[in-house]
Amino acid sequence: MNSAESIRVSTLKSKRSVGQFLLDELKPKGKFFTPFNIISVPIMVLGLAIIIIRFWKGLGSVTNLSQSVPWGLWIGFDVVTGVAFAGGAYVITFMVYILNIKHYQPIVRVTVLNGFLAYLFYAGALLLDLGRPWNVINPIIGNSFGTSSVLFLVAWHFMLYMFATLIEFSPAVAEWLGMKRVRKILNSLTIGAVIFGITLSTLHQSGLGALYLMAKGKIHPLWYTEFIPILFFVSSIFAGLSMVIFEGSITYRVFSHKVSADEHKKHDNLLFGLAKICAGTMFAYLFMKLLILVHDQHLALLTSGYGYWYIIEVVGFVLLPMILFVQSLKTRNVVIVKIASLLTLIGIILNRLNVTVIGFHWDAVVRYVPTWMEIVVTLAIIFIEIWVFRWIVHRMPVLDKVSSSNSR
Amino acid sequence: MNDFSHVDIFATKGIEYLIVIGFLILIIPFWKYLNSPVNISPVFKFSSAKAVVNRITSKIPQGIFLDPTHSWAFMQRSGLVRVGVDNFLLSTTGPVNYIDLHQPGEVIKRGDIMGRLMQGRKSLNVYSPVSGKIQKTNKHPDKSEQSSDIFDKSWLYAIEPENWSRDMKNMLFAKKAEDWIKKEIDRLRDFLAFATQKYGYNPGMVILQEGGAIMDEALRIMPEDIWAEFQAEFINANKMV
Repeated sequence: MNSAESIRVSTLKSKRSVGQFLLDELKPKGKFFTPFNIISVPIMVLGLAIIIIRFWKGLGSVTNLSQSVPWGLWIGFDVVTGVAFAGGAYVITFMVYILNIKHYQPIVRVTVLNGFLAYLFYAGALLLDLGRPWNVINPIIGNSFGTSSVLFLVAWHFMLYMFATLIEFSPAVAEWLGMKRVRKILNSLTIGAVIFGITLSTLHQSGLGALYLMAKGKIHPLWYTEFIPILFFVSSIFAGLSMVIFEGSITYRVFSHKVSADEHKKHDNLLFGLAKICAGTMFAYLFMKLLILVHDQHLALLTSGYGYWYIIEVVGFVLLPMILFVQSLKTRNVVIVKIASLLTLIGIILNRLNVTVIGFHWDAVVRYVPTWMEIVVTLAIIFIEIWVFRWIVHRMPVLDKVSSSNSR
Repeated sequence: MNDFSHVDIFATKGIEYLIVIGFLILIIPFWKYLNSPVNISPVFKFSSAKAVVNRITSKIPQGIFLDPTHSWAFMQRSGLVRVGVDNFLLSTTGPVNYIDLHQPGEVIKRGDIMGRLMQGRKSLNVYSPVSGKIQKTNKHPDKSEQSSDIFDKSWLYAIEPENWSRDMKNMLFAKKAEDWIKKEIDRLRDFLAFATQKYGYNPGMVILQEGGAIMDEALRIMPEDIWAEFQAEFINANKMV
């Protein structure tokens, strides 16, 4: 927080109550009629209306879900893909706090914030998909824990990880409220939360894949393998980092006034570091895919329609972006890094949807196709998350000042 | 559980071993390649520090005053002082475009920005070594240090000095200028080693450790942040007396 801002906060605190300060902060800042707002507001309103209908009249009223396809777009995209994209938080915190690579310090807060919000909203979207959402509390309170189900693991991990990322981000909230002593206490919790968070992440990224282990026979053999958990975990590393690259580039542009010139300059170098990690992980991932393909003896399936689709996913959206990441490093070209990260993100969406939606019941006579309402709700959730993210970045010290004093 | 089937793990074992061995063999060169220095365009050459000193000092004609912010001034017979950017700077940046130049008739003070050197998105401010009224502006100054008579062709302004005797006292001349250039080249080598490490570049890219050779036009491949540091370190107007 710069000095002007700290004066503002202390003045606010001394002259008015915290409640008044919060009310003041809730007011929108900046222009309202921007292209983003004009597009996002109607979708959010429509999405919220559909969510109300869903809870009022049930899942069948707005979705194409059925007894044979109980998990659709909301799980496949919001939860499974969204959580993979949020993987950047555990990778970056691991590098900064455990490996002590301070180079990445400037992007810790914004990445952790993104991770937290992704879990809050995308994992929160899980509630929409539960037939009896009030039962979500059961694995936590012990009304039949359900320890034999992977969902038990996922439920606990999601909840604990949200707490961990909230603690990691909380010093920024304390700074915003001008609570110095609280910030100090929260700072001291960071390292513990980080270690806890990383442990949880490695387990639940793979845990999400493990959920689909019981769907053998329902998932197309090219995507079903007993190694889904490992593939989900490894791919979450480059999925998360590609999200950091992609989203970071947009954030640094949109909030460019919040970032010092020095940080702007360093950001390009950070991207090359992330590109290198992505390329290395993708290299290993490709070999894993090949190994699994050979192990499961599915080479013959590659000449089928689904086989071509599989090749498009692996070659077009894993091998190609990997080559581009390498190319960007050799030419020091930031634009190529961004293109590669975008292709990687598309590849992750394809992969997760291939497992959860496209390749699921691939041989069924009547296929599941999401309704327009499912798509609108998915978009609405993404937009609401961006709105909350923007609200926080505008007010809290996420990008403004990142120094060693306030980062831990 | 009807869908349950066994995979004969021995059926594909041989190929799997080969894939794993292939991965282990390839990961090493792959990682080495990822971490190898950036492929630099072949126009870049390395010269020993001594050769750089010789090349720069041999081109400085008699009567040239060098300013510590890497500009120069030369008093002509007509009474006008020609000013420009020294060849140390141009040999470090490589070819540049001059922008934001002043027009004849404008008055400039010693230490004022006299223009900017642009190379793509990167730029450096350069400062006037003398105060006075600009009589002429060179519309087409030579953009590169490669030209042999940079002090003749790369001048930026002809200035009618306000107080030449005061300004010239703050500049370096003859042997002093030569010694100073040598020190600046030493400083440049240290700067490049430090800056490249700080920003995660392989210092071997620009400096050969053995013998201390420096890449010609080293700033050309450097990002903006290193240019900004170079500006603060070598062309800092605050250091002007």
